[in-house]
Amino acid sequence: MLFKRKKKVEKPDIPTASLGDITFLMLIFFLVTSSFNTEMGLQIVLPEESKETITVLSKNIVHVRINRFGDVRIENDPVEWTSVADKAMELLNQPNGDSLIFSIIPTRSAKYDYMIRVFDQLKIAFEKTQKKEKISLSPAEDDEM
Amino acid sequence: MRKHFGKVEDSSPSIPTSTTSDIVFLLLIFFMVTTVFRTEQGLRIDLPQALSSKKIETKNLTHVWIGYDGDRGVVSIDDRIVPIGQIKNIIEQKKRVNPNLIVSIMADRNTPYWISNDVFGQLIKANALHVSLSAKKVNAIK
Repeated sequence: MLFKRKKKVEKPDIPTASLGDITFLMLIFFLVTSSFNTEMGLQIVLPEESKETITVLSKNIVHVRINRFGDVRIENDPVEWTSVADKAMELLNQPNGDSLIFSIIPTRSAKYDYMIRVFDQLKIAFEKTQKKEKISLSPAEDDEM
Repeated sequence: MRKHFGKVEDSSPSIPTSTTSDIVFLLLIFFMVTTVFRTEQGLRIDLPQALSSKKIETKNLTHVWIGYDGDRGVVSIDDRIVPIGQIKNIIEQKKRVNPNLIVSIMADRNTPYWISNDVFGQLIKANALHVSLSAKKVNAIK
């Protein structure tokens, strides 16, 4: 009689050595793709609410006025908003440039955007001239009629 | 005699690799659990753009969203619409919890300036003077 000896059934094997690599790849992938939301912004320090007013020589204050149409005037000189940085740098490079304070005064119905872009321009001017940043946001003025 | 000097057959040492996947998987789960996603919704706004926008540390940040509805200002803090006059109290409270508070102003670019002006006034009253004006970083402004 032919009794075949039962063949030993080989257990099927899944190679597990590379599984670690696969999960590691997943880990790296998720680490890279998850974007931690980074916030970008312009930093400013608001003036303290103080009873006594700090006296600053008025010739050291540069008034930058913005009206509701976005027109910019630096000390009553009309300036295109894109050239505010150049104009500010010009002023900063004057002999008394180190003590200048730029004061942004928008009118009440000017767009927030207008203020930001002028503020941005002034920041660039201070960055380029490497001077200590002195920009102040003044309370809004009423619109001129 | 001979067998005493026989070479010992060296079996190649092996590190069990079947558990490494479990370890890495655990790491994956750990990172997924510990990352906190911001849940604050805020207002739907269109941020202004700026060239000199810098990265801000989000650690001590609290957001004040400023939008507008017609000619009325809408201010939202922690997903609650608050009247502008209330901002001082809310920020003061936050400031007491975290003295290093930085207020991030998320204002729509088209809001009239007076709304943010009033908000700044409230912040000054609350003595929260470190402010960041959120703006998208761009390389050229259209």
